[in-house]
Amino acid sequence: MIALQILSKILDTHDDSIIDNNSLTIDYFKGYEEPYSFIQEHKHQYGNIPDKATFLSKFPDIELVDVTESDKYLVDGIREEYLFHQAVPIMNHVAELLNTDANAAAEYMIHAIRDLRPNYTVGGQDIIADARSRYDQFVERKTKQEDWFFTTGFEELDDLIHGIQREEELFVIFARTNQGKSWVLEKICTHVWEIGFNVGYISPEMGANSVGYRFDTLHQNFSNKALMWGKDDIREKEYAKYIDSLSDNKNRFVVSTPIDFDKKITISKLKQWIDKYKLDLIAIDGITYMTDERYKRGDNKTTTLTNISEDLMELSIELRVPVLVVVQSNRTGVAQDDSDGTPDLESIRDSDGIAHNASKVLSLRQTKDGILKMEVKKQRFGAVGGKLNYQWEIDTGAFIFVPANDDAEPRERTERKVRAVRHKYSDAEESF
Amino acid sequence: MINRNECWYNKACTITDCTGCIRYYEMKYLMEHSGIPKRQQYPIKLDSSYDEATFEFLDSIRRDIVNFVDCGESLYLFSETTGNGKTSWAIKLMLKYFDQIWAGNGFRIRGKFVYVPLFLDSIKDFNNPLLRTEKDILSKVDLVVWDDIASTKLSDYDRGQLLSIIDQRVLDNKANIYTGNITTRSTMENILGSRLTSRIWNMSTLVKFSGKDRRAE
Repeated sequence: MIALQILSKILDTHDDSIIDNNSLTIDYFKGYEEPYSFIQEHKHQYGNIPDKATFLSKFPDIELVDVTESDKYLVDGIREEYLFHQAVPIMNHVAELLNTDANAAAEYMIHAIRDLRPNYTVGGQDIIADARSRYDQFVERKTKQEDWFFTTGFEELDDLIHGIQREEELFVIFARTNQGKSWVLEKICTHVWEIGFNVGYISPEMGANSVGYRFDTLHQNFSNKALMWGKDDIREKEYAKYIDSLSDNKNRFVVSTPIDFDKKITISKLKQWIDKYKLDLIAIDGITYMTDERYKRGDNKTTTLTNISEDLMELSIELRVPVLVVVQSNRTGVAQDDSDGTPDLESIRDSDGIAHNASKVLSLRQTKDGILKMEVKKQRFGAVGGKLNYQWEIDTGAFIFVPANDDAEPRERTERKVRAVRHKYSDAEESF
Repeated sequence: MINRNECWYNKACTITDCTGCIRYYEMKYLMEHSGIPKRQQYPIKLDSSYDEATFEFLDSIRRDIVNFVDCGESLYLFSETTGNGKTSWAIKLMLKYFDQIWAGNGFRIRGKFVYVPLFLDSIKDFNNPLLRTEKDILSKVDLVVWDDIASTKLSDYDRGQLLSIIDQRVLDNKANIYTGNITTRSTMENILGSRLTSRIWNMSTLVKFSGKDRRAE
């Protein structure tokens, strides 16, 4: 009925601002989709709202009504109706699921219910009246950096991005396949663990022990090849001593695989996982392995990944846990392999939404010379385009920073580093 | 892992532990992407007894090679005979340049050695997906050695390709070192055409070698 009242009022007043001002789409006009579209199209084509005669000639069965209600009443009313129409199929589906799997029903309901929130309550913060809270937060950030940021373990990267924010941080690492994304991800995780925090690492492609061996390589430079191949290069006693020493640390590095998530890594399960292990940072080695809880029939991969990345960012805000995620770049990224740089944002595979939702994006490329090139492609609170080069000794997990005159670091600092590098070599004679 | 025996500074370097040696990695990158034949990537001593003045002049450029490149200067090293050190000198200058700029290079290609007859063959391979990249690099790097330029008469296509790169380099004030056996401007014009000759002969410091072919000795 409310839909009819609104349409009647529009035809009566020749004013459809009630629709534009309140974002009332066709979905709100259940049963009146055709009249709604007719009015919109007429306005679009002829520049005015059709008069009643025109309208009734098209819809002779509709009986227009006199409307004296305020716009606010009508909008609240139609939104309530809309909510009802949305809620019914969800509740029906929940009821169906409850018959077979209460967990699945609850999980579905928790997420579906979020979309059902009445949308007429619009909040906001007066940044003038509440300015003091901003000041307090600034002081806290300044005095307790470790409560607000993690360093990455790449000192020069930290200079560019000021580390990883401990909240509201969806940090995307992307590159083509086999370029070192997972290594860089684990290097950052290892560092965060080294500075005393609990880390959660989701590894869809490697088992916990393989991730563990990489950890040993990154943490203490054990030859990864020797660890994986069981070679004699590492003495058993030395490794055993190191392994024993790890238990002196009280903080965790939890590795989980999709099997640990019953093959469905969802946001709800991630929240439980974070809560269970009291994780301070989580890393997901492949966003495509996640399951979209908001999936609707017909959604394509782009929508799914956009939803997931949006939910990951929300998770980070809600739980105050930074999320690091690895994403592949598409074939455009391959073409760029021949050039000097790293893949650009538009090369992110399957979804622009990932870059859109990310707070930071780091692009990687490994050259055949064993050089790892990094470039900051996005950061919300800093400059983009910062480039860094590392000589990467994969087997020992050593990343040696190689300063370059075109680094994005402050020029003075770069020059100092370049001078220091050259100064290191005091040759006995001239070679060239 | 770094193989010390392959290091260009093997004899001079006083550091004993090569782990993580940035100079090695940077030089390796510069060398491998330079196109200098492997055998000629290591420093050699050139005998100056035949061309004392020429060698002295080139040595002065060697000592000031960064300035030479920064100013976008060019050299044409030529002689009637072959094997008297033109290519060796061109490479020596490029190696010195690498030695001077490796610190802070950040794994960029800075110099290219092009054996022109081979290059002219390669640009006719239209299936080569890297051709465009290669030409792009040649247009942009700081220093290019064009070895044995004008050894054969060029077709219109060859001339067009070569001209587009060299012209771009000259316009961008990039340094070039040409070597060849053409000793007069008119002969060069006959082989390369007037436009290329104008850029090579007129815009380079001409350095004549008068020594004998030492490869025959």
